[in-house]
Amino acid sequence: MIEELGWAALGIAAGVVAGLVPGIHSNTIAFMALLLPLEKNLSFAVFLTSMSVTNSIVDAVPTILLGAPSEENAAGILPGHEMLMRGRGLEAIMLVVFGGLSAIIAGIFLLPVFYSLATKYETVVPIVIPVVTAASFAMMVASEKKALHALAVAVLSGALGIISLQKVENAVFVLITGFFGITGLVETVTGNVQPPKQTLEVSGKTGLRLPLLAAFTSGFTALFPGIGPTQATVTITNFVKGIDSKSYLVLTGGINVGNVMFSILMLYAIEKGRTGLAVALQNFISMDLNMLFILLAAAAMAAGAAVILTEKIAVAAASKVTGKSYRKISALVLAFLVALVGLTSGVHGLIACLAATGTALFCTRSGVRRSQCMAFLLFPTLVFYLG
Amino acid sequence: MEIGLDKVKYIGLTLGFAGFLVLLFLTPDYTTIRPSEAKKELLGEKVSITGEVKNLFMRNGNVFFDLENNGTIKGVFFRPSIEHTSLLRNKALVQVKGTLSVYRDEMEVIVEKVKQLD
Repeated sequence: MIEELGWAALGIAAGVVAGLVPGIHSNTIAFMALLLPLEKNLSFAVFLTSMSVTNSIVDAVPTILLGAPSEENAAGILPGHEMLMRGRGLEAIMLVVFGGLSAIIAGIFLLPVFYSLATKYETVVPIVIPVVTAASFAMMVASEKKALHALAVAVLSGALGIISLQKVENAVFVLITGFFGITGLVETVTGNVQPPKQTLEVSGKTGLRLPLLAAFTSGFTALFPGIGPTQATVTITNFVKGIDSKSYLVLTGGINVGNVMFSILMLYAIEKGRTGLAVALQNFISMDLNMLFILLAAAAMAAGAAVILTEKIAVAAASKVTGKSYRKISALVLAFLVALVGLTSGVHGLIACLAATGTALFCTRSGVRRSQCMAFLLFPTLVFYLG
Repeated sequence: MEIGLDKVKYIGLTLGFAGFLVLLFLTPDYTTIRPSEAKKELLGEKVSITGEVKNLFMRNGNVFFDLENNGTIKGVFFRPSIEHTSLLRNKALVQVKGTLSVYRDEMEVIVEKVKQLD
């Protein structure tokens, strides 16, 4: 008992460290943790779960304050950056954090629903996914004023996604860095882009409709292969009306964290790993009902601790990201991300990243929303389900 | 219904505390006993027993052994991991954690964890 609680606390600490490092996502740390010379037992499973949940909440801080996206939080980088430039970066972070926390609470009540769906309809409902994805893509392009430019960006991004996912290691991280990270960081380093002094008091309000939507969406994300939190966020916002920047951030956080929780449920219900955490757990635990409840309790405890820690870290960090220091920090982050791409994916990764950056630059210069670049995930999803 | 973002940390505190309580309740608490103290009254209890491994053999991926420490109790570990298998060898001094059970009218411990002591 004490042992498991101790490992949960260690997992929270490890998740905070991993969450603050730009570019490190929960799949990577789950697999890296498996390499540690530790006994693979219940305590280790609790450690992994706590670390993954904490990481998925804390990584809102570098995503929004530094413009360094993670695979799961990439959808939130643009509205988050927009709020940062209005001096409300802290509010943006807390919106993402609130989304994650409340999706876990809502998700706990939805567990029986998704358990039932998973055990009865896993082989039937995936037929809907390619239809929804194709419709989402069409709506994304059609909603732009410059539809032809948007189509060009989407086709370029989609082709890059399909090729890179086959040829490049860690392709999703590489392309997200290129599409959403490097462009913004280069603009900050070379231009006169400096965030104003940030409001250091947590303020603002948000509704409760979105966490429920996020919990539902993350449940389906965990149920079906080929759909990650970022694609799910982009897809759902094309179908649901009234999603403004703030709502987008709540959804991003909710779907990201909810996905981790529901992946544990899917491991129990259908014995399939849909996230790095679930695949790692599959290696050494046999999932029964007691184990499911233990891991969900660990996830809840980690989420609660992560929220409190993230607020404290965000307040401290937000006071530093103003003025001339921001350009230096952005340059460091840029160099770090490029080095990470090179180290993890080699020359092919750097080329893919450069291509993604070029596409994103064309996108912004054409007056097209950068979210069109998300086609790099939507196209491969369509190919996966139709191929 | 709207919620202030300054209240989020209190919701987090509540959820974290709830998760802590559930984890406290669900994770097993092992009672340390000697082999001679394994009686039928403790059937189903989570126990921790230290002793020397004897008469070890494997069958169908399961490990069977006796654990001796001023008394003897039978132990069975169903499909142990490679790490656990390497710890269980004859004359090794180990601490096993598991559930007390009875098989063919003999007390045994169904092992969940093994820790090497020597």
